[in-house]
Amino acid sequence: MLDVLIPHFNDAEALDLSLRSVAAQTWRGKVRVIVVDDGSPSDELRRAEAIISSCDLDIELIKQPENRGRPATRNTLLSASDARFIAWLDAGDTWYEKKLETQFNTLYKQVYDGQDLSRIWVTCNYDWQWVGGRRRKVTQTTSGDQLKHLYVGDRLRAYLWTLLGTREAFNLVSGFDERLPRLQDLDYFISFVRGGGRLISAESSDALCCYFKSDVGRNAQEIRDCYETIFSKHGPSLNRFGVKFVRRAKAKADFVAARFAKNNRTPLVSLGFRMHAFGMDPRYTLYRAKKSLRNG
Amino acid sequence: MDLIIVMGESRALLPHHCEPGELEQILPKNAFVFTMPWYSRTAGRYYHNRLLDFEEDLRLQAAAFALVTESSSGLRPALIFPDAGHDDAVQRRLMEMLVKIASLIDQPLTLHPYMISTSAHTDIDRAFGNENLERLLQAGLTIEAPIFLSSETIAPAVMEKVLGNKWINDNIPLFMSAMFENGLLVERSRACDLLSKCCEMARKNDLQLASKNAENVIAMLVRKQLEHVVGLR
Repeated sequence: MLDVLIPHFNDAEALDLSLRSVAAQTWRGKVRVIVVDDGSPSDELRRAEAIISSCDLDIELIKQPENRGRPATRNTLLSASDARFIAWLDAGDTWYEKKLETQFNTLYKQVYDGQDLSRIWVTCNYDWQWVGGRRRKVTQTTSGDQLKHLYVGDRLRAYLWTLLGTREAFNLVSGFDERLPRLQDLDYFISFVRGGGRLISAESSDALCCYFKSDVGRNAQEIRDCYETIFSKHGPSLNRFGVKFVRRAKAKADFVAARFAKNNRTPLVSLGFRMHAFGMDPRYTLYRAKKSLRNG
Repeated sequence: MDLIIVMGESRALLPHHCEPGELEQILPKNAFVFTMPWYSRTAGRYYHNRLLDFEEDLRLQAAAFALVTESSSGLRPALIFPDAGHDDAVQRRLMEMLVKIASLIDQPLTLHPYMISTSAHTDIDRAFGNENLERLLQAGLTIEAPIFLSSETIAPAVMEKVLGNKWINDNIPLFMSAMFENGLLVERSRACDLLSKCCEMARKNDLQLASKNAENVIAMLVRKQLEHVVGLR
């Protein structure tokens, strides 16, 4: 009835953490977990298999012989799912126990309101936790122009593991773009909204899941390039917001890339992205600089 | 889908004093009281009677959708219609609603009727009598043999709650009029809360409120409320 789709690569311990949070859900319906292992080294794969076999959940493990990357793995997960509902989780992130129950109640409410479930994804607020840092709640705002909010990512963020929806709704988009090693979920969200889909918030102000964030080992330039691919792919829908907005979206993308560079100890690369952001949108860059100084 | 229909004394079964978890103790292990928090705050505590007016909006469509989804792991949702055991109009609406649910879900529907009573008397055969039964069978529903639960078969702790609920519902009008006679207007829901507290206090002291001479307890409770209002307590 519900398939929980989890991509896994080389981190059995993280998978264990995520599976435990699925097992602890208060929602009563039938759950199947599909894990696609993206070509993990044999030792780590064996550990993942041991964790799966010791887990009480109904789990299907699909093994990809070689590492094909996150978007291809997510496409494999989508094709393997045949349940009426789909929820996503990344190995290493966790759901709080009321997540599914709250989101299903939101779906039922949509039926009561006469909405078409094949065009709806239910998102939720979440906790954001830097590895070794404190948790802070992030609120997903689904009112207003969702496309605009997705491009700048400050009110509505494209994270798959916040979502619950019908399989039809997830198939409204023709899969994940395999040209995007990073940010394929942002592209997926944008395509969904552009295709007539709508995100709604779960009817709870509480955070319903937790994202354990780490930038380490991620290539800042790759991330910035992925942004550029997305901006150019969805050019017409982005450009309709005007030149000023496009420049702001690009400057924000530079700042995200700068953060990755900084957290990977390449300060000069980080500075380069900030300078690029200044060229794009000097006002926004100064605002960020002031904010940064204020926060020490 | 297996659906449990609970009938019985309305004064005992409504959720003033019996929470879903307490009622579930009476039902089979794989049963759960179906709640509707997506519908409204109070309906979330199982006011299933509202589903009987299903023509008003999409409440039954949403409930049928939720029933199928929530029972997908093999659990049996329970719907509670206290008056269906004795009220012909409610029985008729219940049958119409069940036929409608059967048409909304894409799987066979099996009913498991339960009758809960604080006395030996039961109307369960009447509720699922020949005419109603015929109608449900024609609509393709399967009906399991009804199960009767009386004070002898229900666990004492749960029965205590059921009886407490009955006592509260029996005495709400008496309490409201006694308060009014003493110059205090109290709404029904507030009256219910105050009587629930009284019931809870009795239980904590290992006492049970009897239906006979309830007016004495009510008079004391009214006096306490008055003292509270005028600042004596």
